[in-house]
Amino acid sequence: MTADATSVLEKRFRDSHDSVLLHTIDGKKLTYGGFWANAKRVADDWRSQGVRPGDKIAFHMENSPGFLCCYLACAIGGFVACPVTRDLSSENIDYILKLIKPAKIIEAAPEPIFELTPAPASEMTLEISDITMFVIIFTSGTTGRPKGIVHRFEAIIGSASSFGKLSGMDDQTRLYHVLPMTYMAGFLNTFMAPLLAGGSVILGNAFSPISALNFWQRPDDENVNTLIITPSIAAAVCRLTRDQDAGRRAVSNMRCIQSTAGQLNSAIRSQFLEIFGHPLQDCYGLTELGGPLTTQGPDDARYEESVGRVLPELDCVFRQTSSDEDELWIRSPFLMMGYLQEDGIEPAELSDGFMATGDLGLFQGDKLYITGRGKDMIVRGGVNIAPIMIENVIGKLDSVEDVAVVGIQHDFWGERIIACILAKEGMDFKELTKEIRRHCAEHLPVNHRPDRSVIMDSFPRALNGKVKKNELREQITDNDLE
Amino acid sequence: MNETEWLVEWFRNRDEDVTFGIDEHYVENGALDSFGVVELIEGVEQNFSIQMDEQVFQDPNFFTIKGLAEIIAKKRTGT
Repeated sequence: MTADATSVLEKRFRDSHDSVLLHTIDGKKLTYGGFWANAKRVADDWRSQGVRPGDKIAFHMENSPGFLCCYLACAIGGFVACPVTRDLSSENIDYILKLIKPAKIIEAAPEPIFELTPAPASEMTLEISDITMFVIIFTSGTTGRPKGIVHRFEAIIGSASSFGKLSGMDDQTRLYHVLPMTYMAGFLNTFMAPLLAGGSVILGNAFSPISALNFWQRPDDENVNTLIITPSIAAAVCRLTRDQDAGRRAVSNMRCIQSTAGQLNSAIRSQFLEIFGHPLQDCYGLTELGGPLTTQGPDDARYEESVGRVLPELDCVFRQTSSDEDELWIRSPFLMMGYLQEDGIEPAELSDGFMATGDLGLFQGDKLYITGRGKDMIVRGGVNIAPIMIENVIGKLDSVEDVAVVGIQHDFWGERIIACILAKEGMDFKELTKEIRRHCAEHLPVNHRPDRSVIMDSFPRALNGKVKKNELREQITDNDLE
Repeated sequence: MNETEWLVEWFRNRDEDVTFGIDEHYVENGALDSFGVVELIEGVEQNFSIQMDEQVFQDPNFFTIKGLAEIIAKKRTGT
């Protein structure tokens, strides 16, 4: 654990004062000193509007340089950053805002002033303390409601520093940023880690298939040497890169290309390596435990399907689940403070200091392999989706007797959402499928809607009546998914 | 089958229940997600023997059936 995280961050800004931290999409640059000056300006502005240390600030905006300034402004002013992703349903956004009770909601990122005089190194001091709340990241909870995962400042700094080191980041790192800044990977892995290493971040547009056709142009132009993407981005880039020579040229400069926020399957791994000639390195993480937990070396990624080596600060053990599977438990100094609740923070459930990851796995040598998932969660396109949220929506239909939602492996999404349905007697299956589709379109955000609905005769159940989803998954045939 | 008809058919094959205007934004109205866009690009390229480039995405018309049909027609005739 970093002894004094505030000093670490202040020192980084002082030491790298004149180096470029941020390259914007329109070709402008902000040095570490310039970036601090902009963030300080934002923090002063919020203070002048009555925001006090410890107050929460909701960020509900698109990726931008100003978004990143807001994170540092929170550290400078001692405020709590609460990024709220834009692709949630309005009901869940309302729920989050009610829970955090923000002193301020930022919907338009402050425009950086590039001509601003860089902050003098002597004035680079943070008001936040190591052990106070710094950021609350929302992720889909198994209950169907978003969970607010609260992190202390020192956990974010410690985790980002350790992850940066394990990923080989240094002051020569030039990382291409295309992930949503509201998620841990778009904040910690792709901004805080290169920043703490003294490197530069080259901002791209948040990834979409639209940018995939010409994905490699900017990394090539900007001599990017580090790229962090998701399995779905890797799949889209493999399918839509039209100038593969340009891709190979851009990739030839890369020291590290990582895939995070979702299980990387072997089809994408091998396709990426074949097309671009560079391995895609897996990175496993859990927001509750500080974000990234492992990273795979480039050589290992050519031949292995492990998720790589674990951050040196972590302790891992395996404990048997009720169904005799080996679940991974981790003890981390970067553990969250807990989940945000109406009446405070609910700490993580620990056993001897270890937290259950909900994932199954094993070690071979010092490499971790994730072999399955114990918890009921679907990861589609890097986004955690709680099946129960979808089950609750579909279950309200009169024509549905019962519903169980599972994830099925998919080359693009990582997992697809399949709603398995028991219909009430006499229902027309075709009509029911249409009704489910319409109902989900009304009540669920786009990325939570089932990719397919499959009508079944029965569900495999345990003695207590619980649906055995592993068996259910096996009963879904390829025909069902066409 | 002209470009518009082919596109309407393509959307119907994905979801026979789909109903939206040919000048509606098919991503904003939820008819297509990002994977769907990938599949649409591949389908258009394969069927019309053309190659899309990033330039076409600068054109907001790409995201309506009507606009995309025009883009495809221009690509086919090389105009």
